[in-house]
This record gives sequence, C-alpha cells and structure tokens, in this order.
Amino acid sequence: MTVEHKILFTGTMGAGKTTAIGAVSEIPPVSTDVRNSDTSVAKATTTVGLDYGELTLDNGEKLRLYGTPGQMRFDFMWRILGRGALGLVILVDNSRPDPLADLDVYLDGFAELIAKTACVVAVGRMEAHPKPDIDAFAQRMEARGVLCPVLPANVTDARQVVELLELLLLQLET
Amino acid sequence: MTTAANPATKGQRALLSFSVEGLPPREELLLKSLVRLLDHRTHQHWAWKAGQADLRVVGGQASTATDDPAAAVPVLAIGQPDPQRGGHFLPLPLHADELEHTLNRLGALVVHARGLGLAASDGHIAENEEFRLLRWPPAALLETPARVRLATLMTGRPTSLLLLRQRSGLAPQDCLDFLADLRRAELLESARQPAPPAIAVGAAPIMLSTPSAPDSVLPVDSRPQALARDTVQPGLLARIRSRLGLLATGHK
Repeated sequence: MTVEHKILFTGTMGAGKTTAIGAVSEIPPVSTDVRNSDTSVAKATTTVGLDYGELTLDNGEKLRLYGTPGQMRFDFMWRILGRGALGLVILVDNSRPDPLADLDVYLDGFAELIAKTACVVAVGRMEAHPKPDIDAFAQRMEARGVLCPVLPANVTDARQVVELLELLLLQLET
Repeated sequence: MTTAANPATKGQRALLSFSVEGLPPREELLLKSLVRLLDHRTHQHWAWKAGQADLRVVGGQASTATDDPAAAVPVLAIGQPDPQRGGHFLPLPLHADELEHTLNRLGALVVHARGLGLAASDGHIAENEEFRLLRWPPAALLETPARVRLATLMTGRPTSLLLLRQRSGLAPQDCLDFLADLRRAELLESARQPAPPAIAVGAAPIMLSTPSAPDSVLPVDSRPQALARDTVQPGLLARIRSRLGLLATGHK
C-alpha cells in the first residue's frame, strides 16, 4: 500500500491556492472549479471542492498537496482535509478589504491542526497593498495565541512556494 | 557606551557610538566620513568610539565574534556579499543610502532596548540557556533568509544558542547576533519563566473557537498543557526536501 502524506494550502478565494500547488506539483493540479457566482470577487471560476497536486518521493511515497475550498461555507471540508496533514500554509490576499479578519477565519478554522502540526502564513499582493504590514499580522497572531512564520510571498514564483514548504518542514523537525 | 542609566541625547536624537574593527584604513575613513555626512539624516546621532560601543562595525579582517561571546552588542559586518551570512551586513563599496538605512534600523533597535531599560551589555546569553520566542519578529530583524530560518526554528519549543547552532548550521556569531537582537527587542523570554500567553504552533491551542463559535476562548488559567506534535515518520522530511531540491543547501 502506498504511504501518503499531505500538506494543506488554505486561504481566501483568489489568494492563490491553486497557483501555489501548481507551482510545485509534478502533475497539473486537479481542481474542482466552477463559475464564480460571488460578485464581490473578480474571478471567473472558484474552487468549490478542492485542489490537488502531488509529489513522488524517492521511496515511492506520495506527498499530496491539497488546496481547501476558500469560502467559509465549505468549512466542513477543512476538518476532513486536515486529518493527518503534516502542516498548513495559510495564504492571505492583502488586496482584500480586511486581510486580518481573513487570517482569523483560518486560524480558527484550522486551530486544531495548527496546534498539532506546522503552519506558515504567506501574505500576497503586498507590493500593491502594503497595509496591513507583516508586523500587523504577527501581532494579530500573537493576540490569538499562534506563533508561526508570517512573511510576504508571491506564490506564482515556485521558489517562494518551496521556501514556504521548507519553513513548514523546519517546524516539524522539533 | 551610553546606557539606559545615561540616556544621552543630542537635541531630540539619541547619541549612539560605533566602533570599527578589521576594515581597511581607506574603508574605515570612508565609513566615518559617511556617518558624519549622514548625521543630518540619521534618526540617531552616531559617533565613532574606540573600544566598546553601542554598535560594532567589523570588516572582513576581523572576526564577528566578540571577546566575550555572550555580550549582546549588535554587529554590522561590512565586506563581500555572502548569501549564507546572517545578521546585519553591508557590501562594499559602501553606499550612503544603504548605510543610512542600516544605521537607522540598528539605531532603532538600540534605542528600543534603552526604552526597555536594557543596556547593550546586559544581554549575556549562555550556550545552554533556553529561550522562548514570544512572537514572530518584525521584518527589521528578519532581513535575511537565514534569520527567517532561525526564527522558524524557535517557533516550536524553547531553544538554546547551542541548539540553534546545531539545527540551523549557521555560524555561531550569526545565531548569537540574532538572539541578541531578539532580546533587545524584548521578544525573548527565558524558558525558566512561566509559559506566556502566546503559544507556538505545535503546542497547545489557546483558541478553541470554530467558525461557528468564534468567541469560545478558554480562560488563561484553564489552558491545556502543550500537546505533543504529531510524530513525523523518520526520513520523511529529508525525502520531501530532496524532492523539492532543498538538500543542496545543507539542511540537517
């Protein structure tokens, strides 16, 4: 039986979960996108189920990369996907109206997973939307009792996605 | 050296000192001249001083290690770029704008420490003394990828200088400088003290709220003890790193 491991990518709609998975997956990401009916987000399609990518390790085991559905109405899937995950990457879109509140949603929704494994918060689109800055996110996390890396990231750059995963692995070494 | 007990100021600016070691005479002269020229722009007033100062500027000919390795004076290295180098660094040739930015950043750190009543020489860090990182550090302290790695290694559990060196593979002085900077910024707490409100990822959850019950926060006194992080299969992290092309960078 093939041993499977998984890492989750979560975040708001349009934060780049599909893009991040596609940046490192060895297969084209499998997405369950449908036409977006949420007029508050300028996006043609959105993920209602999940995104999936994978990497084959040198012993044949699979590292599965799952992107959760971004919208909170699918939060029941967050817990299902979170079971047994090695860690979580939270992608925050800083161009949204209240990115700190967005972060809260995922810190709450994945609280159990975050407490048991590793987590990295990656804030996107900071060049055009520098506020709130990284320190504001760190303070918010501190107020909510979470200590994990938070840094700006452009997930269209595969190297930056790899760096995010490396920060997850570093935490798992402890 | 000015201290918290002697908060020297020039006008509204703090008076800070810097020493220079191991720079070629020409570069040392240029540095001192640039610092004087930038005086109307830097947030603090910087003056050169022989011997112990608020900031050590070291060139490639000097070790970044101090005679007293536990002394927590910030070190600014000047020389050839080294991507693996952590800490505060300026490449040669010196550029006024980079120097101004760096002095302002380091000056803010020193002044912040003063505001907390910490003298620069008050930061002795023993090899085996364990610290807990209180929160993710501000960007000014994470200017290199090496420092992001160091901070990440400190998120999970209390860490000593020795452990940090072993786990990061970075130079001892880089680890010491980072710990010293964190301490100056009051982001470190001795692990002998009671657990802080903030917890690390992989430790106990404080917030047990869910999206359906966002306000269900446990009182501090009833917080559960730290949970053991899920055990990772031996060799798995190395295999993932290998697959991601990360092993060439010397990860342990």
